[in-house]
Amino acid sequence: MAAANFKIGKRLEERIFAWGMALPAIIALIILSIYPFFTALQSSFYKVDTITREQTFIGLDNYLWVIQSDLFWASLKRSLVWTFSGVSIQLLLGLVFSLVLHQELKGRNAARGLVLFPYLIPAVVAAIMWRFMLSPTLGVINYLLIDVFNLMKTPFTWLARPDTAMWGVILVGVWKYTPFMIILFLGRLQTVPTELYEAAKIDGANSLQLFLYITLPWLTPIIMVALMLRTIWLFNHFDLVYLMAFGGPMEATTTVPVLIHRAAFSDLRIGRAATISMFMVAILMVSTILYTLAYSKSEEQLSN
Amino acid sequence: MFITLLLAFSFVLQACAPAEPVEVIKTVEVEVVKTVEVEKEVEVEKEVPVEVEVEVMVTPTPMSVPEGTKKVIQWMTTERDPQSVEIFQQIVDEYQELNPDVLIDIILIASATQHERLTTARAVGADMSVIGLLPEFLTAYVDADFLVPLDDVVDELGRDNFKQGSILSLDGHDYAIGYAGDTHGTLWVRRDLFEEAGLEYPTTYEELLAAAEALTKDTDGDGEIDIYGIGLPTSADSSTGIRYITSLYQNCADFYDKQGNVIFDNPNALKSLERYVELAQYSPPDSPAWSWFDGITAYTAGRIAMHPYAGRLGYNLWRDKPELREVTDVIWWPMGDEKAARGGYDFISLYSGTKWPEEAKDFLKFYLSGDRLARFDATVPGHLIPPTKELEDAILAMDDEYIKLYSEDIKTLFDAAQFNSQPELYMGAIDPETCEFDPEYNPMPWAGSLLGPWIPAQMIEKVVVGGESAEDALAWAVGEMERVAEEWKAENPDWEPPISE
Repeated sequence: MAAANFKIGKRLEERIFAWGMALPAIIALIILSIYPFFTALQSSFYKVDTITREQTFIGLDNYLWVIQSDLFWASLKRSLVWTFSGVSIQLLLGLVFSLVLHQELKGRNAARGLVLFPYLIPAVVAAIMWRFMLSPTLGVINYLLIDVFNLMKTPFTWLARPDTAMWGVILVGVWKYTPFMIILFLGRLQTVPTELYEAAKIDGANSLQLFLYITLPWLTPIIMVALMLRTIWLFNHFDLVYLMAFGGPMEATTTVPVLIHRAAFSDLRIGRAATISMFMVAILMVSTILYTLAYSKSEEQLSN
Repeated sequence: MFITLLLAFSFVLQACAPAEPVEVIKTVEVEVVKTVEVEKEVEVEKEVPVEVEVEVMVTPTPMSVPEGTKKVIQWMTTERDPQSVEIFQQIVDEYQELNPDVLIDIILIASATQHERLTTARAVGADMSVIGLLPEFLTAYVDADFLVPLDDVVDELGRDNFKQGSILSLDGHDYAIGYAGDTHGTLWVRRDLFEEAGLEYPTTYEELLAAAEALTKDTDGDGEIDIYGIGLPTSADSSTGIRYITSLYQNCADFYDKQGNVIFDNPNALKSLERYVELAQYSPPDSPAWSWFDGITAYTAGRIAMHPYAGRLGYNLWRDKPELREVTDVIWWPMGDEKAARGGYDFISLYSGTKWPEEAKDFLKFYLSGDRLARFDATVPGHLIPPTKELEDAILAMDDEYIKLYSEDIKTLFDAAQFNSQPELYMGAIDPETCEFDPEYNPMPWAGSLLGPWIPAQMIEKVVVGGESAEDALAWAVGEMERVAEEWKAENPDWEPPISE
């Protein structure tokens, strides 16, 4: 009996300790995420004056506006292009670079450090820097393409044309955020049991087969996590997109987060901005659930 | 699985939820200025008190603090040039030496995000005292009791000293004081390129267009244009919109008349748009992506021969490329026949939630008096146009290298500012029938909705980038102008235009 009581007491103590450790994070989550979320949800049913914050209940008007708005659907399409193009290219490049940096090559350690450099630069600095670099009249990119490498004859107006502005922003996003993928994949690659490769080589597997049947399945769970995180982060991303092109030209870079900013601070409609953000939450929840299911499946397959 | 989903949900929440402020309810004590009660003896059993209606001024209640604690006054400013900040710090040090119980905290903010910064700060209850004011939001801020009346400050500084448009008033009270003006009626030109091409400085639009064409050149014979005749932004933001308003005024057009009716559907307005677009064809191909400093950068790099800008271009050029400044002049920008331009003041106000209203007012008086404002306005000579004639003369007399070298250019900039107007403060400044330019103080109450999204600049972008016809783009803009005005009037049915027909 005494032993049982001691066991219960110890278990309770462990639980209290565990909750105590988690409590600061829970409090931060409530204050910084859950409370603002419910405030935004409430605002979405109101017309909110930007200056006075006076609220007038308007029911589902904001939601109906968003559903009927061509601007919202066009922004959503752009967000999907920005997100999935960025994620795909970052994934492919991240995979390639991490495989290269995993090899025993001279200067590997220095290269691993250098490859992180874009990720360390603040998005604001990167945006301003690339705006200058991509300028057709002043920028170094056009100079290199035309005068040094003779790849083009006329300067390319990356950010001034509606059909190319988004691609200019995507490429800068790829430059900036691919290192994140590289870090994740490199870390995972360090954990691949080498005896698997040795055994496969003995059985006559070539490099491609080693990659397809050992490396890739081992990386799949981390790829799923990386895809989930990058999808959420890119879909939400505001600063790089906005600072490079300010939502233009002709709204070509107005993604959903840029649209929220415009609704709140240019159109002075906080309620509408909150409503658009609710649509974002719904979209991201669906994609997060799908990614989580895919991740669980990949872990299951790996353990089998 | 559940925990994973919960974590994922939390992650998404954190990423998605816009920061929503806690509503701060503030009780303000009303100070009754004058109350008169009259008791009259009548042939009845009870006395009848008579109340006289009096004017009530709402002022914040000052705090009291323990002895030895400093009273902190936040000074939010968009003036971030290093030399301006240095002068600010000197002025602050001088004030603090005289008032050791006060601490002035200078907070630098970006002008592009000024409105969102102020509204967000108010919503979260952040401390603010001295703030900048965007004139298009004057009516909204006053309606929201955002500002402290500054009548006494203006009176002490000398009301008659201030130039027209340098004091913002509403409903009989002053709410903002201009500390530096600008003008967008001036054009910076490369004298050497004009001389090389055998051209005179343009005094009409036709001459300007011809000069822009003539100065757009392939200088090295490779088939590519190396220098463009003019740098004119065509992006959907303020850098385009403000330049366009100069074209609008000079071609005898305006957005609304003095009573707030749309008058933009007008042949003169169409001409102003067509001229702007026509001139923009001689601009660099990335001008649809330009914001404010891209033009200065292109001019400094020698890629454009002309650029409309206020005084800052000349000063920055002198600082960064003095040899180019030597061959640069500033002239009146002839977009049309009327002598008018978009320009106005940057304003300073007092936030109604300040903890130290009297100290903040005292600091305002200190900053705006003596040689202090002159010292600040001289940090970018010609760009920061002072609100009084005396300050203009004081700046021109200063022992400053740039001012001595380019005093004529600075005078040109000061003179151009006489023809300033801005639609958000002088609704109906120009009569399209008579072309009379008469900027009468008449704040546009819905200016935030018109100029927040910069509808006029979007109109230009539709033509230049979207390939729409000028007529279609103008028709769209007219529709938007009618919509924003009607929406505001529907929410404020008691509003009557302060200036009757």
